Amino acid sequence: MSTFSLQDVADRISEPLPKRLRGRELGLRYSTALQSYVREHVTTDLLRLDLHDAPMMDVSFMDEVFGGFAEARGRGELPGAALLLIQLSDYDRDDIERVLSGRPGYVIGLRNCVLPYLSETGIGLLGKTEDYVAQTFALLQKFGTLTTADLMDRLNLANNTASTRLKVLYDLGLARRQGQSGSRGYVYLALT
Amino acid sequence: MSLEPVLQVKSLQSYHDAEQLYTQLVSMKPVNASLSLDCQQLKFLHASCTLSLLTISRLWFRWTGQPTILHNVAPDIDEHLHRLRLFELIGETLQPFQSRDKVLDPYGPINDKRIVPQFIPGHHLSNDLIVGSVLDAVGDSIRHWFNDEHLYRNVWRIVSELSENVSHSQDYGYITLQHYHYRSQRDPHEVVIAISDLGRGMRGSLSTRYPTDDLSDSDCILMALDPGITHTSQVRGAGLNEVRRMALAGAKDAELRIRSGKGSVALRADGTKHIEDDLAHIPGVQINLKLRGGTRQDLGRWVQ
Repeated sequence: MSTFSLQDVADRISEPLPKRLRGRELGLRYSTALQSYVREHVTTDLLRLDLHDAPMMDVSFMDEVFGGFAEARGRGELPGAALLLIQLSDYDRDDIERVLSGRPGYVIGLRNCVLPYLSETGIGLLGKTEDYVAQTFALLQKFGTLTTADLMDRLNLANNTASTRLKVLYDLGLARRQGQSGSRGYVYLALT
Repeated sequence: MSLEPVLQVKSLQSYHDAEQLYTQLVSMKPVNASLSLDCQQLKFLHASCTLSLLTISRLWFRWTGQPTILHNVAPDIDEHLHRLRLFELIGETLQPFQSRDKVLDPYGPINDKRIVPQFIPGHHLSNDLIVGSVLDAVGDSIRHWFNDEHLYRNVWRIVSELSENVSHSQDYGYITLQHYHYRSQRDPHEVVIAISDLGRGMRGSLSTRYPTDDLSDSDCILMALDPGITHTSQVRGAGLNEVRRMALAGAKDAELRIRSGKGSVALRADGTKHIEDDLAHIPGVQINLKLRGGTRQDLGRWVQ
């Protein structure tokens, strides 16, 4: 598990971190850097993005960075480590929530647009998810690990349904996974 | 007065008054002479109309190369205009009939009730540089006036989005912000934000990606407010849908008016919408946002 900040993202693009983060052009640069950073890390890793004292972000910037990130995950186009937002202010949390929740309304085929964040009561989800995603996520967080067989038993699901559910969770960045010894399957790990 | 073209400025209390001026302006034949604005009847200049003076003078200068001159301005309004530094802001395009010998102290940035009109560059890098200072002033002013973090963040974000629009306009613009306190009214606090450019307008921006020939100017505005449009098109910097949401959702009383070309769309917090398509053609985009509340807390709790 490693923690980084927007300053680290700025360093990756060799730019000073501005006093305020505005606009889609800047957002796109940060979005690209953030996604490449996540891709560089293995799938069992958890990367924590610390937003404590982050500069003010306008909605266009948030949409490009967080909305873009969650959309890429929603399309299964962003492999790599899971990303967890931490030390989110109430204001930023509300705005990121709105940005993510709104996207499926106008992006064709996007059914889940979600980012996990650390709250006082545990790990919550920002954005929009289908019901089965939220259900499976809650189970994984409760038990810490799940295999396809575990999920089949707990929810009385067929093998391929259970397998798909866990894969979707992983693609959305809501689970980590590692190979299961003695099997071609995976063990899915909760975010903490 | 000479045979120079003259506009009678009777009132500038609301955007309706500005529209009357625009109608007079576009009905005039441009001539190679300065434009006179006769302000003898003008008793009050509301912040929602301040930028209309800049719009008129810019357009007249664009058409004729000649300035616009304010005549018969009441002393208090003349002082107000000078303290806004309006004439310095726009250079020779807008001039008082008689320059002042004594330079008046401009309005302070924070302790007064306004952010004086600011220039918003069209070039992206300059826009970011200049708007940064504007946003700092917005933050300081809102915190000073209302001490409300929620309000501060919403107004900050609204101003940021609207200012970035200007960088997509192929022109430059101006922004102003003012707080009014109407003591005798039930909802006495009002914040007015106005931003204006004379660029390619909503139709021009949308037409790069969508057919707009069969659309009215108000249709173009409504299209620009569609989140699917503003997200995916080259006007993705608009963020107008977010501006609408931040301004109207949960607001006690708010109105967002967007004007472009011959059309306008006015959206209110109560869900009503007023559309016009028979206005005088003014290029670019002119936006007026008014937020009204009873107490500082009411005004601040826009979005829950």
